[in-house]
This record gives sequence, structure tokens and C-alpha cells, in this order.
Amino acid sequence: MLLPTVLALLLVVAGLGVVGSAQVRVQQAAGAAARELARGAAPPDLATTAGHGATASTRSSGGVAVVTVTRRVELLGFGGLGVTVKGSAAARPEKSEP
Amino acid sequence: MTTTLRTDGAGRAALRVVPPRRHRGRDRDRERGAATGLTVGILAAACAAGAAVMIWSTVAAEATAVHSAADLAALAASDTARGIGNASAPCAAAAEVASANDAVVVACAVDPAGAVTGERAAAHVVVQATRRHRGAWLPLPRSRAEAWAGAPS
Repeated sequence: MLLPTVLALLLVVAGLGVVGSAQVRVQQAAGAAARELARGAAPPDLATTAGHGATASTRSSGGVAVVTVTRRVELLGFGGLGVTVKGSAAARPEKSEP
Repeated sequence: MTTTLRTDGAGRAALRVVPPRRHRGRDRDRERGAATGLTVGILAAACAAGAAVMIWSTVAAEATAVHSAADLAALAASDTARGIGNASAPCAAAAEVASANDAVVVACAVDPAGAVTGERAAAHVVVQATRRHRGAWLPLPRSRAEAWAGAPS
């Protein structure tokens, strides 16, 4: 009984690490995308910055554009077990509407 | 363990090895509960490792977000100093962008003409994460980050 429990706990710890690193990665991707948006340049490739399957959305309010990057992290290779991580960053675009 | 040499009436000798009987029960009593202690120890170590990973990921994500906030706030301040956008002042633009990134501007300095730094529209911004961040439940000081931005050369 002890070994299966230890194995399950180790898998949970590994899963937390995978989700945590994905969270950091999407946050970095959101920051990079917002920076390029602020400079009026083309957004960076999301698959490179945030990982495969990442999607980005942009919404503007009051001259500030908010970029949100979302990615679903599959745990242990199973289709049904996954966590969605999200990161967002706001920037003031150079060519913002007054 | 006891070793005895017995001799029967005909003079034949037999070696007999007798294990110590009186200590067996006491040893078993001494080891009773050892598996429970081991289980509790391993479970506690695994829980501590999980908590450490969770805290690391939360702090790293907050630090990344605050670095982005500082970078984007400095960029907004520099852009405003160059006359881009509709903000009233460079540091007001930096504060607005920092607030949208769940951060607050701690220090902001802008050198529009490059009189001090030699670089036109140089902005230096220090921001700190607010309590709105997801790492706010941790009893740790809020993340801080600073960034510089200037006019493109």
C-alpha cells in the first residue's frame, strides 16, 4: 500500500512542476507578445514562446491592450487529465487610438 | 544463540544449536509501528516537495509578470516622453500600464531630452506587485522589478 501511495504522490509533485513551468512560460509569452504589440511589431510565434497548443487573445480598453495567452497542459499523456494555464500582460500600443 | 554439546549414555556426542527464545518477543515489540513511522515520514516528505514546487511556480510566475510590468511601464513612459499616445505625463502612463499588470510604480524617472543620460526619452521605472497577484497568499515580500527604456536608435 505504501509504494503505490508514494508513486501517486510523486506523480502529483511532477504534475505540479509541469503545470508551474507552463504557467511561467505562458506568462513570459504574454509579456513578449504585449511588448511587440506596444512597439507595433509582429507578435512572436506562440508555439515557440508558450508551447504547442497555446492561443492568444487581445482586448483593448482605454488605450491599454491586454494580451492573454492560454494553454492546456496535458498531464501524464492522458487526454482527459489536463489543466489550463493562463498568463496576461497589458501594454500601451504605440499606435493606440485616442 | 546457544550451542550445546550433549553426550548420551553410549558416549555419542550431538551438537545442538538453540536460537535465543526469550528475546524474540521483545524484538518484535521494539519494531512494532516502524512501518507507520516510515509511511508518515515518506508522505510528509512528498507533501513538502509538492508544496515547495507549488510555491516555486507561484513565485516564479509572479516575478515574470512583474518583470513584464516594469518593462511595459518603462516603454509606455518612454513613448509618452517622445510624444506618442494620449497620456498626460510619462509617469502617469507608466502607472496606468503597471496598474493594468497588477503592479504599482514605486519609482519613475524620465529624461525626455537626454540631458542626464545622454539618451533621448530615457525612462527608468521600478514596479512592485500588488495584492491582486495570485501569489498574494504567500507570506513573502511582494516581487519588485526595474526596467529602462529609451527612444529607438
